[in-house]
Amino acid sequence: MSDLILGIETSCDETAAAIVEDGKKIISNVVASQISIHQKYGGVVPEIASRKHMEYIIPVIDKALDESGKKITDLSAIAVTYGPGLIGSLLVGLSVAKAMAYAQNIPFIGINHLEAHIYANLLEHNEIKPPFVCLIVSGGHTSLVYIRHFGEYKLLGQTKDDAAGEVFDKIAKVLDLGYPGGPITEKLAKEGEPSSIKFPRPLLNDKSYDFSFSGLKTAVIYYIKELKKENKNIPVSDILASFQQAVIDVLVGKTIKAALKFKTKQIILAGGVAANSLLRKEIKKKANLLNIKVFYPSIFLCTDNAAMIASAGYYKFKENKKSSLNLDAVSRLPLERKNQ
Amino acid sequence: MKILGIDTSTKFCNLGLIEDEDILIECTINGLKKKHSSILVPAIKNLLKTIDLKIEEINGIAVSIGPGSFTGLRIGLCVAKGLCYARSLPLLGIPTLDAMAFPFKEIPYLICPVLESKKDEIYDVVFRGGVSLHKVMDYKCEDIQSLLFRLSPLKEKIIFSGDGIKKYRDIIKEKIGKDALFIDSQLNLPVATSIAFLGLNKLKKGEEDNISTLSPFYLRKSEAEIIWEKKYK
Ligand SMILES: [Zn+2]
Repeated sequence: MSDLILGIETSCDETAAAIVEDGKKIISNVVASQISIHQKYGGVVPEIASRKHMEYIIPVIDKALDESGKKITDLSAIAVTYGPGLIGSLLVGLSVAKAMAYAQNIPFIGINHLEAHIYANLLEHNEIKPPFVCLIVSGGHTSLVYIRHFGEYKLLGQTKDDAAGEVFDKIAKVLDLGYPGGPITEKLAKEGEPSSIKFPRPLLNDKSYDFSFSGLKTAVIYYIKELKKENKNIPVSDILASFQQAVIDVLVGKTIKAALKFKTKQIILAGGVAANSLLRKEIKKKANLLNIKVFYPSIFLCTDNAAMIASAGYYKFKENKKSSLNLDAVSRLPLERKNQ
Repeated sequence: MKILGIDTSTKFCNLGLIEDEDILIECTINGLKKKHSSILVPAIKNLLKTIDLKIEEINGIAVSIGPGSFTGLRIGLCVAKGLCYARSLPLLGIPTLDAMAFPFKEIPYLICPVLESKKDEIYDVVFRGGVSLHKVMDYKCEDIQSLLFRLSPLKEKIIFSGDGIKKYRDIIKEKIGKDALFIDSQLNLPVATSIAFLGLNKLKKGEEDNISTLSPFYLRKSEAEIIWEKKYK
C-alpha cells in the first residue's frame, strides 16, 4: 500500500498544497503566488500576506486534491510548515492542517521549511545519501548546512545580514527592474561582462562559513548613484553581471570549502536562488575538478512549494514522528532543533 | 441539530456546543499569551471527548468572523474551515458584535457591544432589543467620542458591554448619564455559545457560508494599506 501525504505551505507569500505518494511521486502540486499583490509595496507585507493566505488556502487545497484524483479519505497524513517564516502566514496553513488532520483522524506532521527545501532534492534524485553539504539560498535564507543523517543537521554558517535573494531584489529595485529581482538579473547579466566592475566578495576568505551581503549591496548601490550624479550612462548589464558574479563567487567558494573540510563527495543546492543557472554551472565546474557531485532540484521545486513539505512529511510519517495538535508556529525556527 | 461555536476574536479561546435550544457544553480558556493556535484544536478535541461525541456527529460549525484580533480571527476561521472541509460540514460565519448582543435580545433598550481595537479606537455597533435584535447603527471602527456623539442625543437607555468599555466607563457616564448601563466586560466576552445559536438560525434559513471565500470581517485596513493610500491617493 502506498502512502499519500498532503503537504501545505504558507510560510511567506505563496499559498501551496501538494499530494505526494511515498515521498517521491508528485501527484499534484498547486502554488498560488501573491507576488503581484506585494509588488506595489516593494516587498512582502505580512498582514496582507496573512489575509491573502486566508482567501487562497481552501481553494488551493481543494485544487490539489481535485487534480490528484484522490479523496480526502485516501490521505495517510497531513504535513505542514510550522516555521521559519512570517508568523501570521504560518498560522493559516498550520490551523487548517491541524483541523483537517483531527477531523479525518490521521497524523498531523509539522515541518521545518528549511529542511523541506533539502528534501525537494529527494523528489528527483534517488541517489542522494548523507553525509552531504547543503547550501540553502533564497530570498529569506542563506545557510550552509552539513547533514550527517537525515534529521541530523549541523548549521555551519549563515548570513549575518541580508539573504542572497534579498540582495538580488534590492539591486533590481534600485535599477527599476521590478520584483522579484533574481530572474531579471540573471537574464540581463547574460549580456554583461562579469569582470567589468570590481565589487567586493564579502567574507570569501574568512575562516567561518558565514555570509554577509549588505556590504556588497551598498557597494553596488553606491556605484550606481555615483554614475547618476555624474550624469553618466548606466551600464545595467555590466553592473548586474559583475554583481551576480560576486554573489556566486562567495556562495561557491564557501560551499566548496565546507565540502572539503567535511570530506563529503556530495553538494546539494536548495531554495529559490538555486534556480540561478550561473550558480549551478560554476559550482559544478569547481566540484567536478574535486570529484564532488552536485545536485539541485528542477526550477519549480527550488522556489517555495508544498511537494517538498509532503516529501519531508513522508519520511517523518514513516519514522512515526507525528506532531502534537498543540504545535505552534515558530517564526525563527532553526534547522538544528529536533522537530516535534 | 448540533452546532459547534468557535470564538477566538479576543484573548479568550472560547467554545460552545449546542443542540437545538440546549447548551451541551462550553469551554473558555484565557489565551492571553496569544496561544490560541496551540489551544484551539486540542480544546475542540477534549470538549467533544468529554461528552462522548465524535466530530462527525456535529451538524455545522459556527465561527466568529470579527471584528477582533486579526490573528485570533484567522486562527478560528482557519480551524473552522479545516473542520468543515474535511467533514463536508456547513460553515456559518457570525459577526462577533452580534453574538455579544445576543443574550440581551429581549431587553427593549439600545444595546451597544464594544470591542477593543488598536490605537485608541474601538469596534462597535448599535442594536435595539425587544422581540429580536434590530440593528440601528452599522458596524464601525472609531474613537469613543465619535460613538458617544451619535448616542448622546438619543436619550434612551443603552446597555454597554465588551472589553472596549473598560477604559471609557467614566467618559461614557459623563456623556450618557444615567441612561448608560454596564455589563461586566469579562463575563460578556465568551460568546461562542451565542455564536452557535446564531449559526443554527442561519443554517435553518439555508444561509450557510462559502468555505473558500468566507473571510474575517476586519473592519480595519492593514497598516501598510493605510500608509500606501495616504501616500498615493
Ligand atoms: Zn523557502
